[in-house]
Amino acid sequence: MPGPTHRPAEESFAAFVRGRWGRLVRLAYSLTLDVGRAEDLVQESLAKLWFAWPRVRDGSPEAYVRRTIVNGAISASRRRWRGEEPRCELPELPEQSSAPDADAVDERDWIRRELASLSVLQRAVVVLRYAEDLSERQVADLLGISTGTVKTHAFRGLARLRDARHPDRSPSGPRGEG
Amino acid sequence: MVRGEQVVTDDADRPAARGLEGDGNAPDSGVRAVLRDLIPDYSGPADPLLRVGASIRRRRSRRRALLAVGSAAAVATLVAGVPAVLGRLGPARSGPASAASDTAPATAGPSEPVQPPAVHRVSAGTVAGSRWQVGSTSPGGSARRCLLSDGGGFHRDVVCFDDWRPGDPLAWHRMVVRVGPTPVTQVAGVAPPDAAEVEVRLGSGPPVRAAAVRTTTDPVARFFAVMVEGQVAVRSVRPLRPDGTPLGPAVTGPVAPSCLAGPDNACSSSGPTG
Repeated sequence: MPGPTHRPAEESFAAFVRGRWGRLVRLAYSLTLDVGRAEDLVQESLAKLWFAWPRVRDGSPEAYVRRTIVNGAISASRRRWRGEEPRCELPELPEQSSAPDADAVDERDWIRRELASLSVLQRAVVVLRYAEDLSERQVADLLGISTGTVKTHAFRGLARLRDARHPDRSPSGPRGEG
Repeated sequence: MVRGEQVVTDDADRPAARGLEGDGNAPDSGVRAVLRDLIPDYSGPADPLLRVGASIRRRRSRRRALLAVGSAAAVATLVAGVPAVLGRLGPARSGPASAASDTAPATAGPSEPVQPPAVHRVSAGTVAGSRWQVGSTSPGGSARRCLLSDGGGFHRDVVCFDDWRPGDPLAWHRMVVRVGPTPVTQVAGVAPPDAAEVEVRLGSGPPVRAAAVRTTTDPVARFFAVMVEGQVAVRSVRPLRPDGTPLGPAVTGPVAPSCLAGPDNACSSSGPTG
């Protein structure tokens, strides 16, 4: 840990943590679908980042911590004792919403549920590709998979989300794949 | 892949936003917007650096411990190997056991002594096979209404609730630590003076109750702490009267502690180094 002479490192790290916390928790949430786990994941990932801060602070600390978060989410999902629990029954859904932004809430709810039904790797691909706006190659590098696998996961995951957004529509066809 | 001035011909390098139109494998803006903010009401802790600082301190403690163990093992191996190489030392001065016992205390010894403040017992138990205890304490300065946790994945970590005032509702804080590979969740805080117990409603499983204890650390607040195995979400914490009836509303959100610190860090600083 740096001493007092390295104060600027601490200050830049503190600014990074405070400035990125919300965004990183949103990323982690889209992978874990649990606010508590998302916060814990971000907390631990930022703690790891601190030890690498001298190396990465002038590079791309956000990419570093994003990779840590994604790897952490995938590792956690592989552990049996903390694995995701598939449920055959969905939680209750309001019959009819009347709030002004009810459509947005419903849509968010549906997409959240469809995300939960994806594998964590598929979810990571969709989120990184379309929420974080990374290229297929960047996603492939980050996850350690081929760009072809990224395309496949992105297409299938996205098809599920499209269907969730328009549940009355028939499932999406295989257009645009590849 | 061939790049022109601004032309990217390989889809693999193209961010999703640029390929929206005409790309069959891209979401519309609505899906994208929802994906980017699945938790629109999320506000987060008042200062996330406090949480991150606590993790950094835990990691640093673990690193030190591992380093000490590694150093002791390395020295033991070295000392044990020297007689074999030189063939000079007698049996009384060689052997890994004696070498380890001679060197381990020097490398793994405790850090400089600190003057411990008085700690008053609040709660204790066993979680994931590890004995834990939590006590109230006033480390000094502005940190007066604090809880010190030891065992069960904690290493004399301190969390303070100095922003709580008499008349305020219950204030709680959740912390996840590990006992070996097992995550452990602690919920600790301060309750109003009339509270006898608190009921902690978890994300899964039955509610957990804990005594709200008055100590000499604070003449008004009652302290409480519970530890449960697993990384568990907390739905709410409610103070209870001695007869078990609710004393005020359940508090659903945690507070940002006024201080989080480890054993070798003063509670007056909130930076990553403590």
